[in-house]
Amino acid sequence: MLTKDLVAASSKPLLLSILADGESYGYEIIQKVRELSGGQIEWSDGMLYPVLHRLERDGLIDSEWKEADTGRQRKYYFISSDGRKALKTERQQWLAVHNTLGKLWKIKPVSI
Amino acid sequence: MAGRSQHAWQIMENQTRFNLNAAIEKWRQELAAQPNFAADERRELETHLGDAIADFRQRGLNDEESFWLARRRVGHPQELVQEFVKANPAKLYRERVFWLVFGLLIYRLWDLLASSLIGAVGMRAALPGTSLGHWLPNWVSCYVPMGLCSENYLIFLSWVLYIVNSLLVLAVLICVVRGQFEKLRPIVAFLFHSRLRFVIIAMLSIFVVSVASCLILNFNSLSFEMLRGRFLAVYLYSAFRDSSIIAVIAWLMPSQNRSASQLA
Repeated sequence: MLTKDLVAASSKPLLLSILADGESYGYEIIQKVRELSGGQIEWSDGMLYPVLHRLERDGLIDSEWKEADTGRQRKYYFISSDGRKALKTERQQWLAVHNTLGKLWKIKPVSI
Repeated sequence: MAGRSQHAWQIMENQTRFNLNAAIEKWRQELAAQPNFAADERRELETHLGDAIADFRQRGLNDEESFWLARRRVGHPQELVQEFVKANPAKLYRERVFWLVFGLLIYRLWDLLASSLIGAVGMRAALPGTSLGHWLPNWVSCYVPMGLCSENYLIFLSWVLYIVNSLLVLAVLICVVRGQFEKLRPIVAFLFHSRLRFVIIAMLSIFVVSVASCLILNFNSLSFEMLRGRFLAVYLYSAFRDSSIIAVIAWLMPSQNRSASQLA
């Protein structure tokens, strides 16, 4: 399990990356993160929405209420062009950390 | 053994009695009692709870199990508020100002009622020939505080009012320290269900208390004579003050009435 600090720090690049793949809503995002991380990253449901709303306020993502196939209304989030730019920066920074640690741990570097 | 069978019976009874819709509705009301959630945010959390319940049911859990697991995952409404506030601290100040102004309104109602009651009782006692100084023999009245027996009586009454008003503040403080505000949650949820409901209830209570205080004071004809000269000005002034307090509360209050009906 990740520490609280790391969960908080990684939430922005994770959310932007998920939404860069296509629009999604809160419940689906949490399931996806759980699945992709093999249960290593467990987001509390209550924590996700404030982060989403903050990204929306910062103009990195947009949202819209839409009817799902079940007939239930859901708030879908999608990435904005500013969000894509921010994701690019995030990616560079996270890979820089990854590569530095990789060199120390003798792991093959990833091209940025 | 007997205890065990009773336990099993209780579980069975709970299962038959568990009503998913009612449970969701109760959760919604708990959420609605948190005044600093916007309607949109509450609606989003409600759909999330619904998704989680549907997911657990699909995995073969019964209604009750699904509800409690989903509820646990989404989090207790109060904890949710803290998370939401962390992400948007400006909201915290908005909420504080909201409760401050709401406290002002409650204080105002209390003060209006208390001052007219104390005024009516006190003025009657202070009528010429009926003040304590006239009732009591001299050897007693010389031990009674000055204010009670002379023209300083009005000052004494304002002290009494001051103490009575402080009692309200003290009572609120004790409630806060003991954490007894949970009990008021349903009342708060009812009152702040919508802006319109709040404004109507607030205006009505101010009106009723004002009329009541007027009537109480008028039991004493002297006080009416005293008030008449300034009657209109005073009441116009308090009407203006009270409606601005109510307007500020309504403005600070996030609109809440949309989601419950839409999601039903």
